[in-house]
Amino acid sequence: MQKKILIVDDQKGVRRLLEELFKKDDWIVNTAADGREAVSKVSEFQPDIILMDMKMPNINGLEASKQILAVHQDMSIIMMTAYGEMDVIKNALEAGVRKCVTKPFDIMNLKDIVNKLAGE
Amino acid sequence: MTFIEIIYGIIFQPASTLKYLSGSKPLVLAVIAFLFTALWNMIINMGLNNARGFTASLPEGYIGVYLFIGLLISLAVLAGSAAIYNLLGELIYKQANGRGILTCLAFGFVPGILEPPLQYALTLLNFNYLNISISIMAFLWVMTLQIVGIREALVIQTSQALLLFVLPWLIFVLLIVALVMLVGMMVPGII
Repeated sequence: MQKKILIVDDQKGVRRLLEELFKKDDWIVNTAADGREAVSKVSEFQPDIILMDMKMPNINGLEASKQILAVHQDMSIIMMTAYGEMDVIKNALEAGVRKCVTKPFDIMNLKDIVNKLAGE
Repeated sequence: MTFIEIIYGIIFQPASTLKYLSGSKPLVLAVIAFLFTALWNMIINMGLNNARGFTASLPEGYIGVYLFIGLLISLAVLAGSAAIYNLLGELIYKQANGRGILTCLAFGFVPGILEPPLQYALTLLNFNYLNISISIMAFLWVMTLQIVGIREALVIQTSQALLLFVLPWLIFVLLIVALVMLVGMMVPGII
């Protein structure tokens, strides 16, 4: 059965990159450009994994993750943060985010993390 | 993204395209685009020099060697620049993405393909006074794209990318000044 992934990032280039990456691996991909759009798409799309950027307009990644986890407690969320945001990483993990990856990330490494989490 | 989409994106949506390229890192495609641009520029510049009346001093049959050496030097400068920016990025901001920087620098050079044909056309139309402004605009365009490329590849601020971009040149100028001063001090009467 095909796995579903929701990619949330305000940068079009990142969304395009990750969309192509996971579509090649036969994932069903959906994208959102900010936290608010992500929250509204989760219930309908029912993703297995959410790849969430931290810094976004409207609702940031941490707040969106908290809102999603409040409704879908078992949702696997991977947060993408900038280097050195240790407080953000700590807060995200405490909020229930499963994993944090720092930018710039290696796409193969990110794919491994996602596949590993999807297999759990 | 296909090659055409990348070229379109570099011209009309540079930030998001360079962000995409810094992650997907299509290095072979980037090097091909860079080499094609460099080759095209060298060929058009040879025609431009002829149109301006600068007689070619290359012996017959050596044009291929000239182009080959030109491409090798261009490639070496590209690789060297990417390596230096990556090293400085790692030292100053603890961010490294060598292959991403190399890809972005190579694709950032592509709009420079427009400069020699425009200069050639202006020369043929006798608008020589516009040549310098075309050169400056093309230089600024390529430089801006390369700074944005470094920014996207290393996930840093624009000001940080700008500093990284100018730092090697600043160090180079300072070294030259120091060297001249040193020679001046050692050999009385030069300065």
